[in-house]
Amino acid sequence: MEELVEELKKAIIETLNLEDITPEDIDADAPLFGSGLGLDSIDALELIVLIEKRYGIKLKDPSKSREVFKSVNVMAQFIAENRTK
Amino acid sequence: MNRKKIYIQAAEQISMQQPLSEEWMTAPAAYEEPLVKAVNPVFRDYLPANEARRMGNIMKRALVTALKVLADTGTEHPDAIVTGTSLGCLDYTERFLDAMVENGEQTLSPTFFMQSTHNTVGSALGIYTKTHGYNVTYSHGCVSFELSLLDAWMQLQTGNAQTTLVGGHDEMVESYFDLLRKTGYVGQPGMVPCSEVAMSMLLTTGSGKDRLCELAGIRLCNSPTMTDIQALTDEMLAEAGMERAAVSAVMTGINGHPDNDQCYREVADALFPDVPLLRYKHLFGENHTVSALGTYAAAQLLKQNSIPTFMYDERRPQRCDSLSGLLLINQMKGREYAFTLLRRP
Amino acid sequence: MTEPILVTGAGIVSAIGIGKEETLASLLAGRTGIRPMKYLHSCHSELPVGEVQLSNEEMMRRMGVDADPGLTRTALMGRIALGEALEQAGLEGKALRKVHLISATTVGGMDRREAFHAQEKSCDRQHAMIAVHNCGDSTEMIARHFGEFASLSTVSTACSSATNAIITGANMLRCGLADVVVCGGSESLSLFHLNGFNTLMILDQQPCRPFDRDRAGLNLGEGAAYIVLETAASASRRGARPLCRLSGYGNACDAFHQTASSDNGEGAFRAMDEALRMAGLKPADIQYVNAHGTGTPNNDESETHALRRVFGSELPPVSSTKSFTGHTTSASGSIEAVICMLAMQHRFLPANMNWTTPMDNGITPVTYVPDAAPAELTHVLSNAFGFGGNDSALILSKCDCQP
Repeated sequence: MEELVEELKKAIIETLNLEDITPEDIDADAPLFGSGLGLDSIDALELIVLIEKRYGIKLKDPSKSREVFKSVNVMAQFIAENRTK
Repeated sequence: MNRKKIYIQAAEQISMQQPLSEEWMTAPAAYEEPLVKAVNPVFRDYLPANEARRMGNIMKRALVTALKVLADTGTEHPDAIVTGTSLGCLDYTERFLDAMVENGEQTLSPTFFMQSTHNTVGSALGIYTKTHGYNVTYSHGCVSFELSLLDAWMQLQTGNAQTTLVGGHDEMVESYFDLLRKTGYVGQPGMVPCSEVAMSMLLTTGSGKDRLCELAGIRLCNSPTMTDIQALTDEMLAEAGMERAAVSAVMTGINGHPDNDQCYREVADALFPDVPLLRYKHLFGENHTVSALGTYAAAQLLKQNSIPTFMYDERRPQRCDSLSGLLLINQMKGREYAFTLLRRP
Repeated sequence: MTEPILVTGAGIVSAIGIGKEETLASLLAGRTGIRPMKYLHSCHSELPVGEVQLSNEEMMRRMGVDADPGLTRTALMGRIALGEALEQAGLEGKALRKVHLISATTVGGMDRREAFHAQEKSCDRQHAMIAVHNCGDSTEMIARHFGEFASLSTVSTACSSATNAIITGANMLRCGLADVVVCGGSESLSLFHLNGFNTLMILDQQPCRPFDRDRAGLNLGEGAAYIVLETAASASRRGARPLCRLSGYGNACDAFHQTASSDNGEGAFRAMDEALRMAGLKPADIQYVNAHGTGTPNNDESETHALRRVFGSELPPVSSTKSFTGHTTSASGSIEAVICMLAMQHRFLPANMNWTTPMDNGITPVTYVPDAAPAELTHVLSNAFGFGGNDSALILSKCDCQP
């Protein structure tokens, strides 16, 4: 799981072009949206694409995204349970 | 309708010359390559990384030139924002298209798509500056900028705005340059390089000491005869209350391509055979909205009331000690013409 | 507004018909054009769309032009609609030298480019010409079928493009730069923007339900429409019969987000408010609003809020005809303006299809009633809101000189 969390942090930084941020800067329990990293609805859509591309998970309902992407740890848990790649 | 006087108050550029600077007037950079990207400023100095992370070059450049012009003029919210761009966020458009074809319409990036509509640049300016006024984007090849200038002029004439931020912006990527080269538009032997454009200017109806110049007239026409062009320029001069003799020089978009240059020379020779001819594309390259940089350059020449020697078209011997009025001619495919008349205030 | 701006010609093509007559018949019959995908070949073929019911080849035959791989679907539809408008206004041949064309598109020739994109790296000059077809080329391709216009322009502000083209044309008349302008837009479906909207997850897998509590997104459509605008002096000189007046318009920026509208619909409110003030009208003077009404959760919520800010508790009848045509993006402003004209001329309220349940605090739009009683429409408001918050509104009014 730790490996997946690290992998995810790097993927989030790359996909969302968070130039000034390193994996060490991201608290795996902190909220990704609103406060914390302060991501927005477009970022949520990019993360939906990310989990499909890398882990083969198709999230059909965008309203579920805030739940699934609550924090890096929550995201990692969801991926571990649902990945097909 | 009684015409108001309209002024270009300030203008900033990012191009293949030094960005946000008039250094090109004394020490211009010269290039041999057929494609030259713009020289970027340090974007971080103007835009927080978090806000700029989603933006391609064209958008960052448009924002920086706009923010600088607004700062230069002490303007928080222009009344209107009008933008000209022919290809919009070309980089992101190409990436989305490539990915769509490669991935079989799966797992595509929303960020690339949402910036592929041509108005993203203009609307980003509205969003960033929180400006609720009139906001429109024109996208019509090589006259995209002049159409924006014309609309800005109309907003000021009708009183819908007292200040208007006008811009001409276009970027280039290698793969698209290759296509344009195949069509013969750029990359031909003897031509200036293909380059990139970012130019923002603030137009205002208020006169003042800090104005670069007056926008005395702007007109566009399609498939005109020489008689049509003569009549149009006569009308433009009359409306501006200018005699023909007040046009001190004519600036054209010659770029080393024989067909392109021929169009310009025919018109310049017919309209104003005896005045100095100026050129700007050897400084700023060729691109659909590069006439925005020509307009910016002309405004600077009028403000400084001097013409660097390297801006003269060597085909004519005439030179100019003092500038009163300057006519810019822009044309597209020998069919669509734009005429911009600038005057020292 | 000082000088009246008259509409003397209109042309339209969309999923509900080729030309005004077919369009009118569909609206009166409650017959929508949202259908399974037929002409566009996408992996996402389950998405309902509003396609013009003609293939490119059929459109070329109809226009009497030779088959040409460079002729785009946007240009073909544009030509059909522009032809109808010019014919009604009695404008052709040399007369076009005094007419300024302001068209709108975003997609332009992308349909042709994406079909051959895989072969681009090794393509020849002719293919390269097709690949670099830009918005301005699109307008030129539409225009050249008819002759030489005084000037050509192209507006591109996403879903408010055609409305803004009409506004630019009107401003040219007001500023004395033209006596006659023809304005509108054309946009064909493309894989590019179908997939683009799909990645934004705002497409409904079912026919769209504007203003319904359970709405789930928009259906993309395609089409073209143009209207001829001229000064009263010009119409009189030419003996052109006015159909209605453009009595007001507004353009404002929401300045909120690139793909979402603000909660309080600031840009939309300002655009509508500006249009009313220009027309010298009170909100109570409006008899019908053709809403932008895409069917997305965000737009309909935001637009409802903006409508309430303008009209208070006295909302006139409102409907979204995107439930008939789909969202025709850059052409929607002019397509919906022509629909408004048909409504005024034939005295009916276009319906908002597929609506059953109100949103919280939502509006109750006009629902379809066969053989409804005639509706006297003197002033009609039409909204168009583009990505990036480019929000525009038009008011069309009965001509004083109409019988």
